[in-house]
Amino acid sequence: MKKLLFLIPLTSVFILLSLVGVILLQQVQKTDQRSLKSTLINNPFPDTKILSLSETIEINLKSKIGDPFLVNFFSSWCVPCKVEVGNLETLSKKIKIIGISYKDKESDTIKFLQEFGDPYENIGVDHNGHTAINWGVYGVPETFLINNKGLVILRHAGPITEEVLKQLLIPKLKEIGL
Amino acid sequence: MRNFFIISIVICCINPLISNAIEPEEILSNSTFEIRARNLSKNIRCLVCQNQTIDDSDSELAKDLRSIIRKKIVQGETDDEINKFLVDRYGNFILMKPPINKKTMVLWLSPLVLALLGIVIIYFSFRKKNNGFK
Repeated sequence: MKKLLFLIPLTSVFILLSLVGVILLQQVQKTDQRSLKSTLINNPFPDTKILSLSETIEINLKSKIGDPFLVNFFSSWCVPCKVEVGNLETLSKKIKIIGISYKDKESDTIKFLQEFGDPYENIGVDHNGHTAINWGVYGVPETFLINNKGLVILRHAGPITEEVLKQLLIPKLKEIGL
Repeated sequence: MRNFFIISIVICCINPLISNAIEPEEILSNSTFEIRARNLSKNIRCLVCQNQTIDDSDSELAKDLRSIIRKKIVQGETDDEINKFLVDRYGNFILMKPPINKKTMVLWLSPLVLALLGIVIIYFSFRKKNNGFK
């Protein structure tokens, strides 16, 4: 029996190493920041008061609570943002979209909207990127779906491609009755 | 040629000590605040470059995070409040040194457990050896 005592530490080491391995593997799989779950999911969206594009009026996103809406961070210098405009226009027929122009010159944003299309109900400007940080944004484009209670129910980092539209956003909109 | 070699070595040695991504206009005039900002920045991960702190990164997001940290320090927020603000938005992944909690317990305790197991193995092997001599 005593001869088998050495098996106890060996087995423990094996179990522990396996456990550490599984955890490390999960961490490695999570290191793609785009696949990290937003901390905002199922939580109220951050208090956001921003100036509108080319106007001096303030947009308070809290005033939009009541109906579901999308918040889309975009920029004229962002190539994937150009790709998603068409799909955002499709979405704008079903749901209101609030655009937040991220670290962009207002004249460039206006030119971008004229050239590629304007799917937004309102556009706010985030000159210093602090509004984006408040939403936990990594880069543009990023899109958040807010339900009628003001809770964030989906975050998509990256452009809304045809595939994302069909497989992610439209099913999610159906879930909330849109 | 010899001088060139010596100068190259000196530059290579000094460069890591002086290099950081902070631009002069970012630095706060209050040195206490600036030291706090630097210390906080050294524990915040640059999320778009990874394995680099925002103190070392030239990325736009790192620059914005440094700016928000400095703004909050000037507004009178504590280090814990600033860290909480960032963790609330980006999760624990933003911290270079993860906090000790249920989720990270294995990560923090595994070296200690492994060391203890090592001691146990050494103890048993020595005891066995001594028994053999008797």
